[in-house]
Amino acid sequence: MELTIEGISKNFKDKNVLKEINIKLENGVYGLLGPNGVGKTTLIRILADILEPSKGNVFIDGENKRTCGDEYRSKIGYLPQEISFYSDFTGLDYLQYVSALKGLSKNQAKNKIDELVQSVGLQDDLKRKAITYSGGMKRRLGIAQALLNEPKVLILDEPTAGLDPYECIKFRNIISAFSKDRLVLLSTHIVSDVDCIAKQIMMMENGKIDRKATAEEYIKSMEGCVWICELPMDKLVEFQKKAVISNVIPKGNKMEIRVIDEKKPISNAVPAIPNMEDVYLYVFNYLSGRDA
Amino acid sequence: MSLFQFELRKLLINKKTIIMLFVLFIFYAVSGYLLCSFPLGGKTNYDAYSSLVDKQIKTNNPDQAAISTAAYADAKKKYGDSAIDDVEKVMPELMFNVNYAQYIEHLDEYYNGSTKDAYNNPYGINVLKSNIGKIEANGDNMSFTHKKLENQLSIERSLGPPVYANTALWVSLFSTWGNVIVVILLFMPLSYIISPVFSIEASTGMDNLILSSIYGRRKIVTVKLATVLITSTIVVLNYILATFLGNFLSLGSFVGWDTALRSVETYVRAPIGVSVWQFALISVLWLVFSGGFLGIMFAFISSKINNLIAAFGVGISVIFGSLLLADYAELFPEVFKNICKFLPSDLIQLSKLFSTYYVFNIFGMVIPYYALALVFIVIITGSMILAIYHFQKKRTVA
Repeated sequence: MELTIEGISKNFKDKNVLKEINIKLENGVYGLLGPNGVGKTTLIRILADILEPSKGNVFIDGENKRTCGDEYRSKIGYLPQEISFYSDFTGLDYLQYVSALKGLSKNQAKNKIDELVQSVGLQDDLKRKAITYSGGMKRRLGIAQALLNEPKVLILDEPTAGLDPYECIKFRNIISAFSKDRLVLLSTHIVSDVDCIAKQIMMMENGKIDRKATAEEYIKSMEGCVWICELPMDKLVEFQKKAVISNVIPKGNKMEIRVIDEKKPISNAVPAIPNMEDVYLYVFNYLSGRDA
Repeated sequence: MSLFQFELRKLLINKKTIIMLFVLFIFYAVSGYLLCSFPLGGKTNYDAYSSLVDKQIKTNNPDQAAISTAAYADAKKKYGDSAIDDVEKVMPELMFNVNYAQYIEHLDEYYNGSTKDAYNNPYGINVLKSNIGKIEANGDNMSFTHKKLENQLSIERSLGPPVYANTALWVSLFSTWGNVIVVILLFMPLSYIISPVFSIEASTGMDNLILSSIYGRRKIVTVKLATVLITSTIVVLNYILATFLGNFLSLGSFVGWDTALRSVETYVRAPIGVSVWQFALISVLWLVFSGGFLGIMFAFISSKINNLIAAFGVGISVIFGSLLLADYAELFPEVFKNICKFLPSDLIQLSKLFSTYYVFNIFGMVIPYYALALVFIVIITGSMILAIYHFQKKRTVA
């Protein structure tokens, strides 16, 4: 499976939300990381075929999305950022309805629903009205619906919003297992959603994707840019104004701070091993702050 | 469940709609009962009136005509035109005399027309003949007006003069099915039921999933339109059955079912040669047909408006706006007046289509209004269906 995004731009009136995006994705999990409002959802919606780009094309296995039409949509599974339900639909109704929309026969739908509700842990709640579900249950139901047609391309927009830590881990495991021989594109602003399972992470900023690499490559590129240092409490506020700080831990009457900086920020700073959160801050706060 | 069953459940087979239809059934039946029995002053008065009618049925009795005409004139003098309806309710004999005198007037109009007839819409065998003679004298034998008058004369001759019969049930029933009341009682609830068909997807946010699914662009439209047509048919049949039941229960008789349509007051100048029961059938078919047309129109509005209340509001506004416009159509120039005849509120009222001879000049051909209305509805409905498919194909979630 190969998904090619070629020169995609999207304008809303005068606002240029996506700017000439070019990426080629193959099987595996891809993380689309970026702060809110950079155009992640717009790109995801274009890939889910619910929004038309102003310019550019999407190709699936070399075939243009525009000409594929129904066939393109038969290959994708989509979990939108906000999951909605009809007020009188139970969880089972919802899954059966989506199965019908995806063209599954009654038998296929029954088998697939049985299998998926087990893996998302909703087997005991299917007969309840879906609108009464907790945020996490709604999200799990959303994930189940996205997987109903065994999509070749799974598109997930902020999939872990509202999930507790245990559910997040469970979700990552489901996605990891599912991604074998398939393409998963996961858009998020939560680093932990993608750092362990993504084959590659794309950083999106101001409607552009300028960086695409593995977590290890990102972390390696950050060597020498993360520091741990100690500061007296009264100087912290002033220091925060000019530095990008990823963590603060009180240590007696001082504060141990983790700083992102290409240069040694203060004399007592010692280098630290970077992680993906540092990378996120480096790209979206340090570099963008410096460029601004 | 299949996609069709789900869509039918969303629109029709759900607790809210079923309760609403049940409540409407009761309301329609009670309204039908009251609307039928109230003008007749109840069953006892109606029975007394019926026995008087039975003596004169289908006849033109000159003696009775003189008696009734005098009684009608006296009553007008005594009670005034507007109060007669109230008085005759408690006086079956007066009711009979008024009806018979009116029948005699209609009979005279069949031959000689009425002073109330518009100059360009003459009525009456003799008037038509005279007008045709004048046109021929001017050498305009090939004109559309000549063709139209010839056509009208031939229809009037073939249908014959109105007959006198007891059609009280049918007068009331056809009024419930074919007048402005149908727009308010039937098509307003229909708008409420159909309006969410597309807009619910945007208002609930389900359009995200629908549009990204394989059946979310074309099959969903086919399925939704099928459910709209089924729903509108059920809603219309609910109205027809309830009003029929209410009307029938108030009189307890089908009398008049086999007489000519022209024996029903509103349709005394009807341009079609059918009996009362045949027209009842036409009415049912037309209401189902126009219900489908309006159902598709509400679906069309729903496909362009994402807000549920706004979709309902626009649907209702189109209906009431067209009612209002049609009401003032007489004040407009002839061309605009003719355009107003194709407003939704006019197209669904049987009394507008079938109560009088009205034709259009289409490339020199004489085309009856009801036939043109049928073609117009088919074309507009077809265009709206194509537009709905197009909208869904191009629909996006921004």
